[in-house]
Amino acid sequence: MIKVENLHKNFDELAALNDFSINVKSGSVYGLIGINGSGKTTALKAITGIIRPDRGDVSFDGEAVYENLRVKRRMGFIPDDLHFFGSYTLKDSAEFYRRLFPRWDNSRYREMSEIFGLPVRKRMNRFSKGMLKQAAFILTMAAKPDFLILDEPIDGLDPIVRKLVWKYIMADAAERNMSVLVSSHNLREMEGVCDTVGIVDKGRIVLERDLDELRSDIHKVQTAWSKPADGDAIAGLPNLKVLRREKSGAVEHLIIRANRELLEVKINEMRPLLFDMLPLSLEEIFIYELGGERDEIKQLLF
Amino acid sequence: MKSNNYYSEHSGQVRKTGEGFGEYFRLSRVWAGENLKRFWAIPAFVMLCYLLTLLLPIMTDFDTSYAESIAGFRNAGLTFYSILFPLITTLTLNRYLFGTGSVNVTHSLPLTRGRLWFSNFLCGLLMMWVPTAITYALIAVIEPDHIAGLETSFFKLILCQAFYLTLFNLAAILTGNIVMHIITSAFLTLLPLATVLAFLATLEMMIYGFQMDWFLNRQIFGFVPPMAMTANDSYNFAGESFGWWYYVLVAAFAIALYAAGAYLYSRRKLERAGDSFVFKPFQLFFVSCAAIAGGGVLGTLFWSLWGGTFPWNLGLPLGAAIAFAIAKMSAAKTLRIFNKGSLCHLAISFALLLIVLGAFEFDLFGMERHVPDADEIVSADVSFGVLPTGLDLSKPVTITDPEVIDAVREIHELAVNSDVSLRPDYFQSDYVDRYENRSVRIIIDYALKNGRTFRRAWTATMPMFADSDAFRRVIDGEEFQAAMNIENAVKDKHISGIHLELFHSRYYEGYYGNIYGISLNSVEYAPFLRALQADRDKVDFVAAAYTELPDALFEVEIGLLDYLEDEDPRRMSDWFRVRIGDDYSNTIQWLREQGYYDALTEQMREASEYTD
Repeated sequence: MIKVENLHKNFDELAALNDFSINVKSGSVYGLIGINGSGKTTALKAITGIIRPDRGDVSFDGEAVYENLRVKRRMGFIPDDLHFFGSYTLKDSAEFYRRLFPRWDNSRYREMSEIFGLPVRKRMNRFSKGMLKQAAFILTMAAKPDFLILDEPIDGLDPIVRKLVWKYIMADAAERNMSVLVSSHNLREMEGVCDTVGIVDKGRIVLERDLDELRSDIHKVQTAWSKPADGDAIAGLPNLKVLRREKSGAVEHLIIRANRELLEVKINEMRPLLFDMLPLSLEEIFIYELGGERDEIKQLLF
Repeated sequence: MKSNNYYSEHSGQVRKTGEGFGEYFRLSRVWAGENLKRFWAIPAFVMLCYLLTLLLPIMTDFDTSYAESIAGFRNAGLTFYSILFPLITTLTLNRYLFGTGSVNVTHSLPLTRGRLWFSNFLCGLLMMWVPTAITYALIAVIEPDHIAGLETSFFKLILCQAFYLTLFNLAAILTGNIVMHIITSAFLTLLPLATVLAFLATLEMMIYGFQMDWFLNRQIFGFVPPMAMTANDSYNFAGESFGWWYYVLVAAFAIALYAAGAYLYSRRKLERAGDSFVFKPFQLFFVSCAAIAGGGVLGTLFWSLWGGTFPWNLGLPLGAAIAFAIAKMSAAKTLRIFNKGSLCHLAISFALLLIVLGAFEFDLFGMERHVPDADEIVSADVSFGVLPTGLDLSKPVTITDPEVIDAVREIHELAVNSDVSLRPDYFQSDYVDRYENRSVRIIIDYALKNGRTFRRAWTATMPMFADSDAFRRVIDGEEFQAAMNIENAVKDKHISGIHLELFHSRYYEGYYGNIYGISLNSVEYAPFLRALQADRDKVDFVAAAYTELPDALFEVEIGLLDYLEDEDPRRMSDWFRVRIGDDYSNTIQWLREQGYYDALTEQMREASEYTD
């Protein structure tokens, strides 16, 4: 578990982190979403012990991270601004990582190198940005970290590789209880991978939601009624709140906050001509949850 | 209230790094091993330099001028290497600190900053020390003839390398990019030990019109470790230099610099990687010091370019302003330096400059106007640049006679209160009266009863001392007179011969060149040479002698070289050049009267035949 409490970090007059707090549970994926300059990267640097915050605490399973080798051996970090020893091949880098990380898994390194199709004997200063990202991912995952921290991890990767990357992350999170903290400036990228999403703005978390809870609470419903007035009656039902209603001919789309089972029972009791539960995107959830009113959210969506 | 509990709240273990003793060295070895793997070219380069400039000349045993020049470089080269190799090593090993990406990745790895610092330092030492040790071992094995002073030389070299490695590592921590690392390294090398001294000397010269003695005798760099560890005559590392205390001092400095670097590394703001200075206050320090030092250096330049007439109170601030602007541009990495912050820095720099200037102007340290009391003084070494003492013009004469010491003190007071009006025609001397407008270099070096010395030096014009009774009393004293006696000087200096070089310059295919010289290698010529030195009106006798030679001659250069026992000839200070005129009759007559004409012309013929 990664616990971050009340981090403050100032760069001269700029408050890059201002009472920043999050919790990343074991085996879960936490998405840190924010526009450029919102403080995501600074937060990740503070969390990984690269920089020292002015105030606040960071702990990994109860241990502070800064200058703590026990934690850092269990932590993998892939920054947005990648760097490798220029003259090294992927094989050389793997050897270096093997000597630093006690849980290095050579078979995993070989397997991933083959699957990603990276040349292991080519000097890494000749790699493209995407290849470097893949190399960083292979090296980090082969070290089998308990805590994985990723800064804009899929920038520059093609869709197939993206899928592969997430497959490995999700597998490790599920099988090894790896905690994952991932930042992005785009909410859509976090779709389907995050358990929790925190939106950061001006150095603080302005919104934090468990996506499973969100998904169980907000639903998109497609209905058609023999009498239009029946549709209007939904808004009056107890324990159910219509957040949005759109009509397209005889078919109506509704976004409703309610318990899913209760919702199905209530609507079926009203005998609709058509009743379907449609999937909701993360983007839509935030739009409807917040009404699309808050500026910091709007900038992430549009 | 600000919390500093970053380590403690959850782990309950402040600054626990999670590593044991064995683990510390294992991971240090990992990082050092990676450094050696990546930067093997550095020790290879060091070895190549040693091979070309130390080993090969010794092994091939050239007996040529080429070998001599290499040998010369070998001596000076060690001084050069002791700074160059650490600079290259630190630039390379600390390169990761200068880029945001590299520093982020490195510090996210399971390596503490303390370990990185230690590993990089250790690795840098190995990269320099191993090739150095191999080279010295090879010299000892292959050429035992060259073993004299080898261990001393080796010890000094590795100590210098370690010292500069720590100094330049500190520069790497202070700075955020490679250019400023180099500038700061040079700055830290020279500023504390040389630039400040130069500035002080400059101030003295410009404010008081005097010159400090050590300013002209390379002692300004004499405290910079490699120079200080060489013998004064040849930059030879194997030679005598300061005592053991100096090495202990350098080692202590190195340890302090290492500790300072390690501490600053833990406080380094990594987000400033790429900036000129990672620690902002250092930027102000850098700019202020550059302004003060630049004021001295550029002020001197203006002063000398204008023939010593440029006013110091204009030259210093102008030089300081220029140096400030250049330093600020370097530090801010932009040409646009005129903003509120810069004005504040400029004001601070000039305030510091004014404080330093004021300290000297008003002699806050009391050094300029201090004249030791007579009962404090054991003896005083005195020299006046125009009076020949021994065979040199600047050889100090030790005065112990209390009455003459009083006269010395009066001269000192005259120099301090130089506004006293003096008549130029009072003092008459065969040596002095013709040089009315010549500068006199006066050096007084007191030996005090408390075991210390107090040395002052001035350059003043001749008239200033012409009316001085004190001056007369000093040179009329027995000790000064004895020193001025040429025969005593010859005896005192154990001179085996005197060498008079008579060069003639000839225009040949577009160049002037010294064609040849002749020698008078006998003590019996000493009075003649003394007369020659004292009475330059007679020097065109040489030209007269040369007229018997067939080629067209333009000028003749005359100087004295003294031959000391077991030493190479040393060029003395009084060299001069004479253009050939048309009328030599007086000279020839004078030479004949002195009985030297035949001897001289005989030797010149021999020299002519030999060189033709």
